[in-house]
Amino acid sequence: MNQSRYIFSAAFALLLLLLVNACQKENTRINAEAAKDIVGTWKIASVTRNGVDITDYFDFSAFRIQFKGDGSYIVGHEAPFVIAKDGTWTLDDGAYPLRISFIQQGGSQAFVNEFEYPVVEGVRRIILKGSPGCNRNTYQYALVAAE
Amino acid sequence: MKQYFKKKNGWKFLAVVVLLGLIFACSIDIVSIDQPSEADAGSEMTVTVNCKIDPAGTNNGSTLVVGFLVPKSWNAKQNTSAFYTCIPMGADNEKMSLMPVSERESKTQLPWADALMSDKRYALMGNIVADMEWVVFRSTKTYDVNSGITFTLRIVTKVGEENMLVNLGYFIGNANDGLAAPGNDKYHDGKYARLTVVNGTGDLIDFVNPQIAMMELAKATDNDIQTIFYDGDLVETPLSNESKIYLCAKAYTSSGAVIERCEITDHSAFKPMAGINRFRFDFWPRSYFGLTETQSLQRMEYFLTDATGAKKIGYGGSTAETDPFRFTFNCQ
Repeated sequence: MNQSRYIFSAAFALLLLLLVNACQKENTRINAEAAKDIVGTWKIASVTRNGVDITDYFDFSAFRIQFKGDGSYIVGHEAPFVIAKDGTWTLDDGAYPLRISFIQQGGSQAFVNEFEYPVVEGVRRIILKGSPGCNRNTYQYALVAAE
Repeated sequence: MKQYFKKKNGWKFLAVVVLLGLIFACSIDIVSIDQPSEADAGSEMTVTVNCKIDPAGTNNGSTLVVGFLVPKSWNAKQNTSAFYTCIPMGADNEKMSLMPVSERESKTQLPWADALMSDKRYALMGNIVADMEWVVFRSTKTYDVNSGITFTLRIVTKVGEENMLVNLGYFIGNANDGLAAPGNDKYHDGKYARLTVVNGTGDLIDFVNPQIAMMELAKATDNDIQTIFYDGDLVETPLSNESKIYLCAKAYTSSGAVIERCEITDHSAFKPMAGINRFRFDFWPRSYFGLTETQSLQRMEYFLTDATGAKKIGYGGSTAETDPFRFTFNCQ
C-alpha cells in the first residue's frame, strides 16, 4: 500500500512539474525573414516552353550560371537563356523577391524576369520565367545548385 | 410495358414527348457564311453570317454573343468590328462591343475567349496550328425572343499581312445559356470558312493541312528552342519505313550568308516519339548553325533524310531539290 502511494505521489509530482514547465512564457519574438542567398553556381533542372516540359528533348546539361556575392554573374551559355552575356544581377526585394534583373556587360538595359525561390523535395530552387527568343514564347527555367 | 403506356400512364408519356419536342425545337443556328475564299494581305474584308433562332416559349433579356476565330497575328481585337441586323427585333446594323475579360461564360466561369478555346466543339475549328485566338463580341442591348427570327451578323476585319491558308471560325450564342453541355447545346452554334491570304509576306503558313514535318513554334526567332515534328505515316514517302531520320538544312542570315548543315550524326538525328513512325527534332538555331554574335537568321530550308542520306524528302513528301520545307524566323 505504501509502495503504491509512493508511486502515485511521484507521478503526481512529475505531472505537476510538466504543467508548471508548460506554462512558462514562450518566446514569441518574430524573426525577420532572412535575405535570400542565391550566391553560388546553378544548373538547369527543368525547362518548360509555353507550358510544355521540354527538358528531355534538349541538352541543357552544360549550362551553368554563377551568382557572385559582389552582384556579378557568369553565365556558361550553352542553352538559350534569358540573358546571353555575363553581367550584374539584383533582386527587387532581398527577403521577398519576385523579380530578378540582369544587366549584361557593355549594356544598360535591364532584363527583368519573374523570380521564385521555392524548396522542392527538400532542395532549394530558383524559378525564372522569360523569353530568350520571340516574346510570344515563354520559358520557365528551374535551376538547382550545381554539385 | 405496352400496358403501361396504353392505360395508366399514357398521358404522362405523351406530355414528356411534347415537352422534349418543345425543348429541342429551341435552337440557334448559323445558316450560312458569306466569306471570300481569298483575300489580299492587309485588305479590309467583310463577312456576313446568316443566323436563325427558333425559341420555345419566352426568352427574356438575352444578350447576343458572337465569336470570331482568327490568327493572333491579325490583331483582330484592334482591327475588327461586328454588327447585327434583325428587323423584327428593331435592330438595324447595331454595333457590338468587345466582350470584357471580366465577363465570364456561365458554365466554365472562364472569360469567353478562353472558354471557346478550351471547348473541343469550337477550339481551333479545323486548324492544326494553335496560333489562333477567339475574339468575342456582345450586343449592347438585350432582347426578348419569343418567336422564330432570322438575323445577320456583319464582321469587318483587316486581313493580316502574312500569306496563309486558314479556317476562320464564327460562333453565336447568348450570355444566359453560355456553352451548354453536348446534347443540350442548341443554344449556341459555330461554323468555319476557309480563307487563303495572298500577296502578303513570307511563305504560305498552312494552318489547315497536316504537315509531314511541322515546326512547333509558328512564331520564333533564332534564339528560341524550335521543334520539328515528323509524322512518317501521314503520306507515303521514301522515308515512311525508315526508323532513323536526320535533318539536312540550310539557313539564310539577314546579311545574305548561307550556312548549310547536312550531315548524318547524332546532332542531326530526330528522336523517336511515343507511337509508331513519329519523331521530333529540338534545336537552338543560333547554336545549331553556329552563328556569330552579330549574325541573325532570316529563314531556313530543310529536308529530312535517312541514315545514308540517299533518301531525302521535302514539302509534301516531294523528293525534288526545289521543294524543301521552309520556315521564316519572324516574331510579328
